Amino acid sequence: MGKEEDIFRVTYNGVIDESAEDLYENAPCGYLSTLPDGTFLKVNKTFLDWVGYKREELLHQKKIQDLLPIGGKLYYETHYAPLLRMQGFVNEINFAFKDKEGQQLPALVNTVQVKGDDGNPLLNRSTVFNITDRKKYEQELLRAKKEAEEAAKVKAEFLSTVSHEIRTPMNAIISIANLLQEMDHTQEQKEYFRILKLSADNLLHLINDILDHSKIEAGKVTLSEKNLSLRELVYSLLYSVNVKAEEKSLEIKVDIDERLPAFVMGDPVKISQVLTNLLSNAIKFTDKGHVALRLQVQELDEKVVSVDFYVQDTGIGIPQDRLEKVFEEFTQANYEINLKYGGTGLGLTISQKLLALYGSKLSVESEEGKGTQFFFNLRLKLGKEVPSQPEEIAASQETAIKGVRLLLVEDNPVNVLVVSKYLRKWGINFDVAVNGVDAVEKVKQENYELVLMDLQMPEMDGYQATSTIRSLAGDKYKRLPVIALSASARYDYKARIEAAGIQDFISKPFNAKELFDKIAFYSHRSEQEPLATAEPAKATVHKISTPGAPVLTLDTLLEMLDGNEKDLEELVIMTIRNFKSYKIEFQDALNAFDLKNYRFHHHKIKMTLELMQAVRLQTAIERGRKFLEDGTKNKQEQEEIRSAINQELETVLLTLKEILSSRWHH
Amino acid sequence: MDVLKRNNVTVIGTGEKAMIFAHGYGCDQNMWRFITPAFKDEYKIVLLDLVGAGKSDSTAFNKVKYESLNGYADDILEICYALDLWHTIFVGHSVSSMIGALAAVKEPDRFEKLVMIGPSPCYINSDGYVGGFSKEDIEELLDSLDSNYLGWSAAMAPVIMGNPDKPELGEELTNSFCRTNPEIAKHFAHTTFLSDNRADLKNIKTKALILQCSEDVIAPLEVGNFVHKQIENSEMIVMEATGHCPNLSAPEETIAAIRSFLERTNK
Repeated sequence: MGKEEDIFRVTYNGVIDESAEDLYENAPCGYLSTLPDGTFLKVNKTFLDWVGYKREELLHQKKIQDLLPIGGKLYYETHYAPLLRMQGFVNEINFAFKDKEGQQLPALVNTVQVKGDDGNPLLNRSTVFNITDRKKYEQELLRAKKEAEEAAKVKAEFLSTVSHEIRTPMNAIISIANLLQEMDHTQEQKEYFRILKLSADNLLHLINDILDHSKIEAGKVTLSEKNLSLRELVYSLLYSVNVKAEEKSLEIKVDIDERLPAFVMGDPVKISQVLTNLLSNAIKFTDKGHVALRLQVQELDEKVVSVDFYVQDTGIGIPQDRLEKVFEEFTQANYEINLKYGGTGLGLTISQKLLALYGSKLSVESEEGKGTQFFFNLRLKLGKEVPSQPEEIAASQETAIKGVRLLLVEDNPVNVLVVSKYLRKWGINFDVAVNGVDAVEKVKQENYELVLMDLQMPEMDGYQATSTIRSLAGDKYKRLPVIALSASARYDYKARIEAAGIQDFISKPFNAKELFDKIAFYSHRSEQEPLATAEPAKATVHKISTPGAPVLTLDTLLEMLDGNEKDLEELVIMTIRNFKSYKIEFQDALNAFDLKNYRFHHHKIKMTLELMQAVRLQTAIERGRKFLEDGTKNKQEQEEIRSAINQELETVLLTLKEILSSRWHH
Repeated sequence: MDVLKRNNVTVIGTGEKAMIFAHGYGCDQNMWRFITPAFKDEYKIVLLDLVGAGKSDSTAFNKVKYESLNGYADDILEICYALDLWHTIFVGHSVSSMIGALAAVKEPDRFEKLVMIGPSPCYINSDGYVGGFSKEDIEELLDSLDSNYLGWSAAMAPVIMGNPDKPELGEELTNSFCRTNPEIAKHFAHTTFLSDNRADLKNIKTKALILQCSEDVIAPLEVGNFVHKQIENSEMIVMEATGHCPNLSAPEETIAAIRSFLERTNK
């Protein structure tokens, strides 16, 4: 009998009967039985052939792990073995077995666990499929995938170049449309130019979005790391989006966690871009109510701060089934949105991708008809403290808050001096109240646009003063923005601040830019700000109307400057210079019956006059103000006042000059 | 953010004192299934999935935060805050034993005892220190993670099949336990295998038990000895169990070792 007959027995009806044993040994796959710890118990010939080991070299001698390279070993221990123990099987695990020569055999392994009567694993049975060919295809596929991605990148680059090229002529079109708009035209032409300008702006916006998007796609966008103040960034952002919110009479709410460090390391351009996008969207899709921006510190240690950003609105909302879609390219919540609101549908995609650079993600919650909230978190390294630099504020911007009617409530003369130095520099029309009672009185008498409120003061503190103001009859007292200004920048004051109705907080020592931005933001400053309506003249707290009073005294000033003679000298020189120009300005305003200007200069000079107790000059100037407010335009009275102011100013100037020469030998 | 949701925290058991179980690289809280039944009558069992693993919220993943094990340690502390846990027994497997140790250094009052299963403060050998791997070994591992991820089909399937419109397609095809987001797993592997927390060991004041397996390629005996020597208030048990996961391969031995440690140190 030949050998074949042992293996194949031909049955009488002609069908070949397979030998199970031979199948085990020579099947086109490897069979392995191992102990739970991986030790080989039984292997088939196919596997032995593949790995080049003799049976006795493996059985009871080696473990599966021994045939794996280091990466495979770790995968075996950390993934394969635990998984097998937990679910009793594992499917399609890709291992590369090392053969005796060190060559790798890519294989797919399926394993089942055989358990004993006590439920504990006895042994593992595995099948091993040789996937050398498949592995090659896989690598080919990976290569093809990489190539396709490369090609997409080239396309994105092309798009980015084209968009960039389109921008140049686009800018020219917009500039010329601007010029044309300013020329004289018929009503019809004006309308045409308006539409031309609007469409060109929209087109540029679209191109910018495409450019940003393709830049990100092409991997050309990287994060820069700069020392920046998130507070300042937020306020300058709000300042710029505020115009649109004002047009729609939307309230903008800001809530910045006081624990937010003054400086962090981050990319100001990217962070601004994301926030601007979210805020503009919120304003765009909200017709009434508010848009709120909230920055909440999640974690803070000596190196890193984790900040949650929320942008919330009371707008049209997004339907639940469209929520995730809004992040997709060129997708808006629905087609009607585009018809009604325009836009590219790229804004959120760009924001999402920019945040991805920070390893962060934009998420959204929304209720249709109620509003939407976008949220993201940034982990930023802490930045270096830089002393506040008033120069940071661009000269062109400085005039933006000129003439704002502001009440500074502050009992400490030095603080008054410091704050007013800036307020004056920015041309802010401000009064000073020395305590809460004074503040409430002044608020009742004047139409302020903004109150800077110290929290700790004698008589009545800032909390109480604000509550009192809020309880005054009249809507304007509910709306009047009050910003707390305090050295106690502590988070646990937050509840009290909110309860008192204080909108915001600036901690001392303050940063000039932050002060500027907050004033600009809360005063809703725009060019056409109407002049405050005339109010009856009010009594100034410091005013002492004694006819025989001295021209002036420097005692208060010196006290305020902690007896620093040099500072006082400087102040006197400054005052002399200022008063010379005031002389002309008061005359001009008076001659032109220009109450606005007169008031402006009055408020500029008032603080100094009060501090010097220059009562006579004060009286003269107040008389002029009353005269202008009454609007009688009596020429004779006008002349009297003019000469009185002139005379008193001259006297003050003379006195100051005398002091200068006798005290400091000028 | 809800930290309990973020880390898919499960609380079981009827005891007062809390026992926190944290899984190692490649796994999720399911790996404690053979251990927890033994303790659930006496203790409050707190189970969690590290961010990226199991049913954790992978959107909470953040490359910068999780670049060091401290990011994971902070998560553990946040879970303690959320559940108001004090003087807990922390049981960590593999990398999580180091994560727990870092948390215990930061806030010792939250942790009464540490059980460290197969800990390694540093995987790479360096002058005089045996970590078990050469720099090249670890590089090879990380390379294979980077270039050969497709190969690990079990982990890869959710990505290939992860059609956002049909998530169920991905789920049916994959193994049901220890699913990890592959991108996060890759990052976690970098964080884990390149970590060097040797210097932190000296700051651990918490009583610690080191459970060392025989023949553990990931954390060999030398590493266990090193950890034991560095932690002032520690004891070490070398187990008969082999491999890296005695909590799965030898649950009885593991339970007995933990139990005797807890009883001994309670006196």
